[in-house]
Amino acid sequence: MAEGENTMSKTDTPADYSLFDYTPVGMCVIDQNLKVQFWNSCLEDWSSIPREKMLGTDLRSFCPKLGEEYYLKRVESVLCGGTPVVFSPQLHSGLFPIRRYDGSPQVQHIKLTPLPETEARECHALFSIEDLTDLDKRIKDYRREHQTALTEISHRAQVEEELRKSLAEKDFLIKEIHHRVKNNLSLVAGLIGLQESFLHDGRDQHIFVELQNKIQSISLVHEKLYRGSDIEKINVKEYLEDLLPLLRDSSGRENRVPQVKMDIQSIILPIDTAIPLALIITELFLNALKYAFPDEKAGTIWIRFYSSEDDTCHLEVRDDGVGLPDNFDIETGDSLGFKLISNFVAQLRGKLEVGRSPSTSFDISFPRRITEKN
Amino acid sequence: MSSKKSVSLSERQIEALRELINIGVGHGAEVLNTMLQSHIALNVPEIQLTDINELERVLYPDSTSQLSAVEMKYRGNFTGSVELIFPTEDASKMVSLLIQDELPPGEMDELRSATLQEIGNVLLNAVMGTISNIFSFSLKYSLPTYLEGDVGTLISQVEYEPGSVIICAKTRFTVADIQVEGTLVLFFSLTYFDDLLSKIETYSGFTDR
Repeated sequence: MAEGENTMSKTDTPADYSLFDYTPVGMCVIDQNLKVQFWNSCLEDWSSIPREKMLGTDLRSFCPKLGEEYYLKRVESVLCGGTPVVFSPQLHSGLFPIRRYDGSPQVQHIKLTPLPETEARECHALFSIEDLTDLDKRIKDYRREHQTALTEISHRAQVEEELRKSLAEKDFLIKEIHHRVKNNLSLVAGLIGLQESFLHDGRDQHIFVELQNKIQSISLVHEKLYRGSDIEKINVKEYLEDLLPLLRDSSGRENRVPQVKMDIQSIILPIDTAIPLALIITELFLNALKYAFPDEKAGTIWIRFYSSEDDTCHLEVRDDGVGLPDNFDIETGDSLGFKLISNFVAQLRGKLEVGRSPSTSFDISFPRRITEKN
Repeated sequence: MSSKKSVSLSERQIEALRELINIGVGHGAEVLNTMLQSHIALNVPEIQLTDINELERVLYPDSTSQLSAVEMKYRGNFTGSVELIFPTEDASKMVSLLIQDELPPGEMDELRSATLQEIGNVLLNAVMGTISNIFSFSLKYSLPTYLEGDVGTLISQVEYEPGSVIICAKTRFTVADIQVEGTLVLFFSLTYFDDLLSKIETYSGFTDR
């Protein structure tokens, strides 16, 4: 037969494949000699080759890859009535060399199924070609974005791990510093104690003991910080339960020591608040021990610490001792202890009220969270 | 009864069946090697006969994870289906190796499932072709379809004749030193299983000589 002449099947009876024109899938029917028996409208659109031109031509002239032995074997097996064959997009590119409107090669999922022989014709085979180019692009874009996200997550996890390590190292170092500060303060307190033993004047000795107590109060704050789980905050209840017995024992009273009653809420405070508070309590407690119960007089010192609903902390130090001197005025007095108390209360942005009746009391209130605004 | 017959195959019959499937799988491997232009080794270390009630337990007894399957249905001397099943994660890994994907294996998107469909198509064609040729069965096959789900979901979608005998063949794929194990599942109509057995007898007798 002359080249280019349209060739039908050997029976010369054209099969009616016109139904294949009504589908968005490329469809091409070939006969035993791989001659095109049908080329549907979709393939006409995609390839810009009209059906008339394709009918009867060897499909290999349009799809050269089909001439390769491997493809030929699979096509022939279908033409012998064998099982359908799939040519998947990732393993076979350009089997039908069709380009899209933008010039990019079409990504195709191709299926080849036998069309069993009939009385009118021998066995044909049907290529069904799905255009998966858009899907391929979307999947590749998605996978690229997914990969970028995974890389970013992995990078962030790594940075987070480094930060966690760095934070742990910082915490360790700060604990170590608190430990050393505590040791150094204990050393200073010890030196003061040693120096005090060389003094002969009772008043001088007392000044040294008071100084030693103040240093120990601060030292205990640092001890609580390095022993605790939080390097920046301490629990006031735990702190006072350790501090007050220490101060009471250091009061120098040999026989009757006033009873100490504590009612302290478990409140966590940062170091900036804890140290001034510690020094206020030390000062007020030692003052009560020293002056409220002269001549070994019996009595009680009450210490109460709690937080109210408005997040204000309240410290009450009360005693049933002899009371304050009539001329006592915390604002104008020249006592170093009370000057210190006034200063620390101001540092806490708090208020101090002194009560005289029925018993002596010092009520201090301050905001739990001290901010710049406060 | 049917399933009892299927599990009472002699060692020799089992061995003959395994050899048959191995021959088919070998043909499939040849096609895959040519197609992929890389070396993919396939072998069937183990086959097991079961029925539909036991299939879930035999397939992936400890697995509730996602499975991927390629299924081809057939009609002719008898009706049934043949499946190639992998854990989805392994299927994705194998596809990545075969297409030399630079991105790490991800989920089974439509392009990857199409690749698995073709691999299943080649292998199932080869195995069923071998069996059909030897036993002169005439079967017509559907296009392969891709299924995904847990083992129960997959089994619920399978088409088979009541009382079908099921042959499960563990199939080991070795690609670039990586091994992935899938399972070939063949559903045989009970009516023709006797015929299959007698032919296996002949075949195994023949191969013994």
